[in-house]
Amino acid sequence: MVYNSFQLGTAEFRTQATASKLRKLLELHPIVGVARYRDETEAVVLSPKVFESLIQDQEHLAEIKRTLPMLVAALQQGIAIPSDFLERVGITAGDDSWQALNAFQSHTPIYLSESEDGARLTTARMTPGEHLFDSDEELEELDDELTSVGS
Amino acid sequence: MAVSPSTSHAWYPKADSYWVDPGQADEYPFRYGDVFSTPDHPGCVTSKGQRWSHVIILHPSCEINAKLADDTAVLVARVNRVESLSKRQHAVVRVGWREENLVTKVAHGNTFWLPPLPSQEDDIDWYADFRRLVPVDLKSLVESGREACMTHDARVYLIRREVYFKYRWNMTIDDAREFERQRIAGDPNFVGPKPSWD
Repeated sequence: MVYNSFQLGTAEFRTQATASKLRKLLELHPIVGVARYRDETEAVVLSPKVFESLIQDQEHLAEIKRTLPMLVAALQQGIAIPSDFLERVGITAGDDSWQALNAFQSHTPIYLSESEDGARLTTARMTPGEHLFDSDEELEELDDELTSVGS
Repeated sequence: MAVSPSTSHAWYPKADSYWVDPGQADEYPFRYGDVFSTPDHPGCVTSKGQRWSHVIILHPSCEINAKLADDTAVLVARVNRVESLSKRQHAVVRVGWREENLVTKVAHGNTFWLPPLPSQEDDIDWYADFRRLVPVDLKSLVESGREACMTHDARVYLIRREVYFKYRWNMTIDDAREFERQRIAGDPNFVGPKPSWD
């Protein structure tokens, strides 16, 4: 068993096993192996943070196992999968560089259906009319000399 | 029209089609979509007094006519680094939309994404912010210098995004291009190389 951790002998561990000493030890080394002989770890003491993270990883793994068959079936059927679901099970695009995203968005057909506020978007085919010529005449405001731009 | 109808609603063209080759930029007059160094203007600073990096022309909506007076007002918008935004927003700004529960929504409609400028040595990308607008005088804008000349192709995407931001009209890119094609065809004052789809 290999840990990127600190290792104590059992005798040494006994002297460290008070709450305050353990707390200090785990602040320095989040994972502490306890061994009677070299390379024979008999127990592992974890900091609460590492323990919580292990529990979370276990739950995450259980969720992936639960959802993987459904995910594969959806992909085979060409059914779209919400991106937040993919993120939750740890599947992300990985490369969010502007180069990758620009290539993706310019090549992948996207159909926008809602505005930022959730309002439905409507897309009408427009028929451009004949070109209208603009008059070059500017406003002549007697109380304002600012030049405005027409285009 | 040489361009076939697009079925995609992509907000942005390919990065390599944004800027006119710097060697040919002199043939193109200053125009809507061109990016300049920030002119010396009190409005072109952040709320903390930091000078904007670049600005993009949003008005006039065509080329800036050589006969215009030096004090002619040109409307510019701030151009800022994508990296200056919250990290979770980088990807959204770079594509212009987001998906939530299988619904594809427009995202940050006040932004227009820009790839690195031709004069840049690094790989930093940008966005224009349609909410950070300042009218500057033409003389100081010209003196600050054009950093990038936008292609006709990319300009159509800018028009489409700006129309969406202002009016919430979701034009197709083909409609935006066709409107611009007809506008150019009917413009007796048009200067510089015309688009390939004209």
